[in-house]
Amino acid sequence: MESKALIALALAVWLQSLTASRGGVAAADQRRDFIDIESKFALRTPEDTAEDTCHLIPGVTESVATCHFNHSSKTFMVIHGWTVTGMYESWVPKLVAALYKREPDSNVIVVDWLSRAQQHYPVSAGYTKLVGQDVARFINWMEEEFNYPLDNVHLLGYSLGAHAAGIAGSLTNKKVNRITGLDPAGPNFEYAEAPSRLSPDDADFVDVLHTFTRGSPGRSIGIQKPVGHVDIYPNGGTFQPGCNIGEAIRVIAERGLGDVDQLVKCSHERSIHLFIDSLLNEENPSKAYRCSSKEAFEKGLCLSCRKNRCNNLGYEINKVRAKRSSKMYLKTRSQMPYKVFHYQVKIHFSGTESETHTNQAFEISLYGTVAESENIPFTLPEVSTNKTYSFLIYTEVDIGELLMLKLKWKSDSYFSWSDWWSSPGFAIQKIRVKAGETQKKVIFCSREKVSHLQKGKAPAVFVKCHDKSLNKKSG
Amino acid sequence: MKALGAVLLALLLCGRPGRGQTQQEEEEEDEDHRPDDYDEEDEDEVEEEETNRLPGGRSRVLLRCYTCQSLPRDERCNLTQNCSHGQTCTTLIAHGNTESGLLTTHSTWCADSCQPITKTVEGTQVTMTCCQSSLCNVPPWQSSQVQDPTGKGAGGPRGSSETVGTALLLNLLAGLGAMGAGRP
Repeated sequence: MESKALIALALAVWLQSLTASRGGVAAADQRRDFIDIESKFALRTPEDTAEDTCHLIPGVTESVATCHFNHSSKTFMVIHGWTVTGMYESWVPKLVAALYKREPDSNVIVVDWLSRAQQHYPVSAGYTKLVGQDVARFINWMEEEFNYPLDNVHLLGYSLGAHAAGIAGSLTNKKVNRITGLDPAGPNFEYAEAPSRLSPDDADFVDVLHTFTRGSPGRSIGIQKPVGHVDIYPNGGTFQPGCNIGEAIRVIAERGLGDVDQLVKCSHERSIHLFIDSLLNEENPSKAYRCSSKEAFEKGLCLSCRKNRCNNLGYEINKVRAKRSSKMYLKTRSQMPYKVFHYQVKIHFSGTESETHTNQAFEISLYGTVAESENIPFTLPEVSTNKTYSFLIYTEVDIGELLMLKLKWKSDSYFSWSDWWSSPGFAIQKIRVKAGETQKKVIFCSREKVSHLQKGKAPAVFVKCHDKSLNKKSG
Repeated sequence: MKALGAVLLALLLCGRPGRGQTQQEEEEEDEDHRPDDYDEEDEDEVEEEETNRLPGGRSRVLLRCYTCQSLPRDERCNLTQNCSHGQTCTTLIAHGNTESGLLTTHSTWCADSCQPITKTVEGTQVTMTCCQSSLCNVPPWQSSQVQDPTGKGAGGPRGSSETVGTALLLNLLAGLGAMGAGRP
């Protein structure tokens, strides 16, 4: 009798545990598994790009359906950086809107780690590890729970957020498709080991924009060393055009103090706006060129597109994975659209009398089939007889195919004594120009065999006499 | 039997492993340590050599063009060159005032792409014309036959029926080649 009752009881207990484990307890368990995730995952909509109206909650299956997550589309996860105000900065809705404009069916998730991001910088920097863990656990949960392919995930991290994205990428079950680092933070990370910062191993493809690396390494706002598969340094990466004080005053005058936070980090934030530009101006991507140094780029020596030496900036980048990180450079305008057209100009200065001048100012004008770009100033640190000089110039307008070129040697000032006892100047036969965007080499010839260039005198004119495509013939 | 042989040959040709169309991601890093400040003239020379060696080793009748840079009106060009496949003969005429008065100069070369245009820039009229028959790129004032009297616009293929024939043949050959190699 007793033994029978015992068996019945045991059976009852077992049955109960069985039913319970299939019901609420498991869900509660799962939820408890994620309870320490502090970061929030807001799925924004194309209609409301500015507000976090619906959150995807790890462990809560229904939240994904409630927010209308699109399981068959790609997902962008935007991770912000350090914040003084504890609020989202004004770029967040702009980036969200641009992502939806380009990929209307996608899911754009904004990762909210604002509470951890508004601490003292070193504290917030330390938190990137936890934020990265949160993001990785969320992504892994999406994969385990819904079979959502990680190959559809693109993380975009700005400043400290870039390192959080990198840590997240290193902790996911499989590699995510892509991480875009938007001026990853420098302090505390410049000398950090790869696992604790953004690195090429963190995703199938990692591309990085470096826009504010002024100062000594470790002290600059943006990280200086390359940390991705492709690292692009617009305008050298140190500082961006349109971000000086004069410009700031003009913007305040025009738009008030509302966007003042943006001005302080103008160059830092430019990385985001360059990426937004690439999303919106789909048909005209800016091109960046691989170069061994900023100085070589300034000489125009790196405008080649052979063997993946050039790439598109931003969303339409070609996923090139070099064995070692490669630094790429380009010039930009000071506002959207940022694209410019790069040219290498090579001039051989001949002359019978040996002359050397230092720091000489010139102006070059380019005339093309579509438009012209006149009086582009450039300075040569040295000009000597019978030497060839190469330098980089760029135009904001697309002038089409080149036809003619004008070169002027400027006098030192409007009224200068040196102009009176004028030096004989230089003789120039040909000028060679290589256009980065069209990958064409053009030779310009003097119409009178040689043209004479004299300081402060009339400009010399050269007409196209040969051209050649560089990307023709691959074999 | 013969037909079968032909079919087999065709299959063999089509099935020839072409270069994979997959996106090339791994990058060849050779040559990479070379500084980028190569001299352009050197590079030109190298490529010019390649020009006459045609891919596939098939011998083709090449387009021949005049190649002179910035000659004054009264000078004749006596330099010619075999263009590489797909190139066209080009003439660029510049007419305008210079320090030594009104001047007309012309340049000729094998161009990879040629877009005929007439544009006046800074008082100089620049005219670019394109043509595709042997040694067709002579300035209008020097051509013995009446070519393109205005010197403007794209002169169509004005060659004899012989050259048209070769062009057709070439096209056909190129098409066949593409059929063979274009398969992934």
